[in-house]
Amino acid sequence: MKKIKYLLLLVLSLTVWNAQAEDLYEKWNTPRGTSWGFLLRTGYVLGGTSPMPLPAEIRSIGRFNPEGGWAISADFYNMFNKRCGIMTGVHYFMEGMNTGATVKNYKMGIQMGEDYLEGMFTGTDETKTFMSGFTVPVMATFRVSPRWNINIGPYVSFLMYRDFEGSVYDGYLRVGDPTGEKVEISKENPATYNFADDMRRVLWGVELGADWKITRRFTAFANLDWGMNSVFKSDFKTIDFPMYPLYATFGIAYLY
Amino acid sequence: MKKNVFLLIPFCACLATSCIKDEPLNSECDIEVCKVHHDAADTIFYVVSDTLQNVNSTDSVIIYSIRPDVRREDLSQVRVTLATTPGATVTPANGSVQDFSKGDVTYTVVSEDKQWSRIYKVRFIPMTVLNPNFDFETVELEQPKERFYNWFAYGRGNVRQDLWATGNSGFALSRSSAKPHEYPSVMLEKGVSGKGVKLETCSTGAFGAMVNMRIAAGNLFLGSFDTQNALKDAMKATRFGVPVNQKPLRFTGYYKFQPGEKFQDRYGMEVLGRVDAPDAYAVLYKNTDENGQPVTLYGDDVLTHENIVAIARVPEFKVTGVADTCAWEHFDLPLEYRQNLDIARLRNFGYNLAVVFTSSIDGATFCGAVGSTLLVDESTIIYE
Repeated sequence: MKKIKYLLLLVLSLTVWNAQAEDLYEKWNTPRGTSWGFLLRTGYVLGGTSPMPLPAEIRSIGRFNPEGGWAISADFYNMFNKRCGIMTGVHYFMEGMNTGATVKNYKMGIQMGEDYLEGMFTGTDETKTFMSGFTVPVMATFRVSPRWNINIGPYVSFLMYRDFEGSVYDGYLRVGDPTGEKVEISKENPATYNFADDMRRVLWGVELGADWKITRRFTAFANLDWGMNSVFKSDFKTIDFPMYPLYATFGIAYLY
Repeated sequence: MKKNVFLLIPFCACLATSCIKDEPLNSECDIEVCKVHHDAADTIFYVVSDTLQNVNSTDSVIIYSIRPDVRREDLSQVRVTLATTPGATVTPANGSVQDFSKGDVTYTVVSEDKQWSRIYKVRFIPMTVLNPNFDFETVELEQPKERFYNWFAYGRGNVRQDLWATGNSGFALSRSSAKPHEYPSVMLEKGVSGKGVKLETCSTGAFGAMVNMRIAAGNLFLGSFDTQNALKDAMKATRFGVPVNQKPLRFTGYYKFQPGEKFQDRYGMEVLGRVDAPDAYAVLYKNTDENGQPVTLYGDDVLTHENIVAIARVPEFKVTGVADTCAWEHFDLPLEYRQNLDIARLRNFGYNLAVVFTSSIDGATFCGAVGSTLLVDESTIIYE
């Protein structure tokens, strides 16, 4: 009998807790009382384009300036039940960074028309990249608590503007391999490059997002777009490792 | 917002230095400096400072020019110290005494990561006397890649002399697809007599623009070209002059010249109204300073250095055209001495002679007209 009493107590308490929770979850509801709704977001983008993990050839990162920009997006969602739903949208983004790194024996090969220069570079590399375009994610959305909502799912990005440029200096190139001709490159006369045309127009990856309810209508959000393909075309050999975009957006969303 | 911070973690972690992996071991295996020690170095070498040599990255034979009267057996006990790439190991041991009486000594350098190795030879040869008849008949493709032409000559006793240099190896960096005849300094089939030299100012294409060196003037000079410094400090890449032990009096030769159409500055901007001109000169200079340290003249001081003793420079070039049908123009100029020649110094190869031909007079600063062409042949230095 005692067991039953405890069980009843447990069921009762769960029901009460659930009832309270149900009430709190109501705050996610739209004014229309529909299962679907919109999130209009604006935020600031921070992040970088980088090989992952960093190869041993990269010896230090001396300077890193995220040079992102604004992101504006509209997400549409439809809840299948109180907790789970699907979300999709269109995000306009500006992503960029400016970084300086020292590298050792970093394999590179540059094609310029018919001419090709390949070798191992040791020294400083400065890179500036910027991309803008639209991202379309399709995500599962979960209301994990009355205040928290998380989204996860794949995305496709279409780039309208691409730039990847920089310079190498304070070091030397061994032409071909480490026993090849040594060519010194000074800071006064750096070798500049621009690989914008070698960048892909379409990128894909996984988006991970979280919304935290501030009020009934507003949430604070963070979105992480983790690129799964290199920003460069597969035939691009200058940089020996794939470069993945990894950018996060922080901002405010309006729910209606 | 707590969760936002969590989202940042993987992202920051990748950028943070904690993600930097252990430093890979060095892959390079160069001898950078070679020094030989001999009890009687002053009887072996003309200048004791010759015992130390900085080794170019492309060199695999380290040559010591010694007095011709040195007997081979005097070279049986020479200690050699080497500066190699950090971490590299060398056999035979660095600092050991070697026997050069039977010829070259071979060194093998293995990189710190053991993945790469290079073989060097250290060689002692009697100082050769420059063959002063520059007929440019002996020319070959660079080895082993055969990318461009190299000129050499034979001295007394049919000893091969590799005393002529060009900037072709620098051009090779920018234009890997260029054929040997598309380089700035190329062999000319029809010279005044036999073969000659064609020097043409060429565009270095997109790679040249990357480093702000848009043109490469054709050049040919006595001395050596240091590709290692070609991008860093182009003026320092041309190391002019080879030792001589006779007094040069006259500089003669034949040329044809045609300027290119558009003269451009270093930034590729056309300089309206300026017509390109070539340059040719012979310079004699003292090759050591007061302390006995070696002196080499470079692109920026070959005509101005205080060690210069005499100069002969073609004052003005005629535009002759460069077709086979155009006539060769002759020049014959005295070397104008500014200082008295020290005969004892001269006998000990204490002077260097630089002879320089270039298709664009300001080519060293990357100003000139693409297409400017200077043909040269049958040049001589007439000694006293």
